[in-house]
Amino acid sequence: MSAVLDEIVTAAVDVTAASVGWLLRVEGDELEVVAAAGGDNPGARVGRRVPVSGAAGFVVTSGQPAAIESPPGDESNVGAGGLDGNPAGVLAAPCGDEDVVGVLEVARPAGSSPFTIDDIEEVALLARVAGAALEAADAMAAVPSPAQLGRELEELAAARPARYAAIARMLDAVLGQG
Amino acid sequence: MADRPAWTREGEALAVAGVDRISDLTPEWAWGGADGSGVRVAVIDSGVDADHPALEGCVDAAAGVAFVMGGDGEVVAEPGRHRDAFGHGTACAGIVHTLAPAARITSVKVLGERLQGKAAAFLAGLRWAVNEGFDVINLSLGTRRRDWALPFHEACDRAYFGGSLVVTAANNVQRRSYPSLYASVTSVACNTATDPMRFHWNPDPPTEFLARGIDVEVPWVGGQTIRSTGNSYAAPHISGIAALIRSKHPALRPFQVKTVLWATAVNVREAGEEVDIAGKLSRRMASGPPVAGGR
Repeated sequence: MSAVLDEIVTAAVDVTAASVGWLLRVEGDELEVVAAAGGDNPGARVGRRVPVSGAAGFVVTSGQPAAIESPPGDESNVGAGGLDGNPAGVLAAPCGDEDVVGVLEVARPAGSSPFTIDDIEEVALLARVAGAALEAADAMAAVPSPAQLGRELEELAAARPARYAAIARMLDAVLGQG
Repeated sequence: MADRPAWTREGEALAVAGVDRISDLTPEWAWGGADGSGVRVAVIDSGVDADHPALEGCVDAAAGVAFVMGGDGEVVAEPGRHRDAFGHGTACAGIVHTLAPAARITSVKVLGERLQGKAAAFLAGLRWAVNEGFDVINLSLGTRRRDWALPFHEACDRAYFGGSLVVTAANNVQRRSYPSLYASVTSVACNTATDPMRFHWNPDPPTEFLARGIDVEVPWVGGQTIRSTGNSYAAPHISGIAALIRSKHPALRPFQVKTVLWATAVNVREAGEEVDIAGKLSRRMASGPPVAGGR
């Protein structure tokens, strides 16, 4: 799944001619970087947690995409996406169908062209894909692995053999065949 | 609820002064000479930095209210002055103020750093603004959650019948977002204009109007000014223009304000002028050129 998320972020960076990008997942009252592209060693930013602030904060709470061009003194996006610096411009779009489960964000350096409305719409579309991927990943994480499921069934069968004997026999047959 | 049967209204003269025909709904009639005086605008957003110099004291900071989630998951109203969590509310207030400088703005803060329960706070803020009877309510936010659709629908209908014009930000691409889908609100997305008064009617609802939202210079937190792009900046442009209309014509109902917006939209006016020119030409052609010795 991480490869898919990385590709989505890379596509967002490429299509907007941004220098860096990242995907944030809502984790409680914080945002976690789950994919990154561009810049030096983007993988090092993955796993960092950032507060709900700046453009990403607005997007995740309002559900509206936004592109913000910051003047030099504006520090509202310092540390965005786990970056060390202060991007000159950021574009952020919400991920998720019903709830906002994440934010896809790209940033550009000083001196490059500001983001356009086309950039917003393209990143918003990619954010929809990213949202579906994040929701699918959450759904998959909730499903136990076959080995885990087998262990749990074996424990049930051991604890109440009369009730789970048939299941235990089926399980033995399946695992035995495997 | 009305206290008399609707049919008893039929004998009343309810014409709008100065409007005999739709073509009388011109920008000059709609907002010429208006500055927003007497109009109250609620900005439901991340809070407003009332001391920002660009707002020139137009914000009734003490009248504002912040809705936050309490410890037991209930929504708590905190009246009075508050800060802007992100800068976005200040930006929206700044756009309204630029267009309608004499309008009074009240901040209804429903967005904050804490993420839990934000739709509940959002709904509480909207209900509060509707109860307070603001002339214009700007909502540059929305929720996609279907389970909130009905309560938002009820609140927006109550605003519509109560006389409050609710202006919401929509998506340029079709995407479910409540309450921007409802007929009782005025839903706005970006156009490509650089003139803040240049807005368009969209004949393909639910987004009904397009207004400036690209590369807009807006006030931000910390007394700063930034440039930003998004539909959430298009909505306050229509809110500001609606504030001018309501300032000059305070008796207009929300659907009439929408009609005035439709009639004064650039693409409707220009098309009307073309039709008018075409009509004159066709009449001239039908009458035919002068013929010497003709009948």
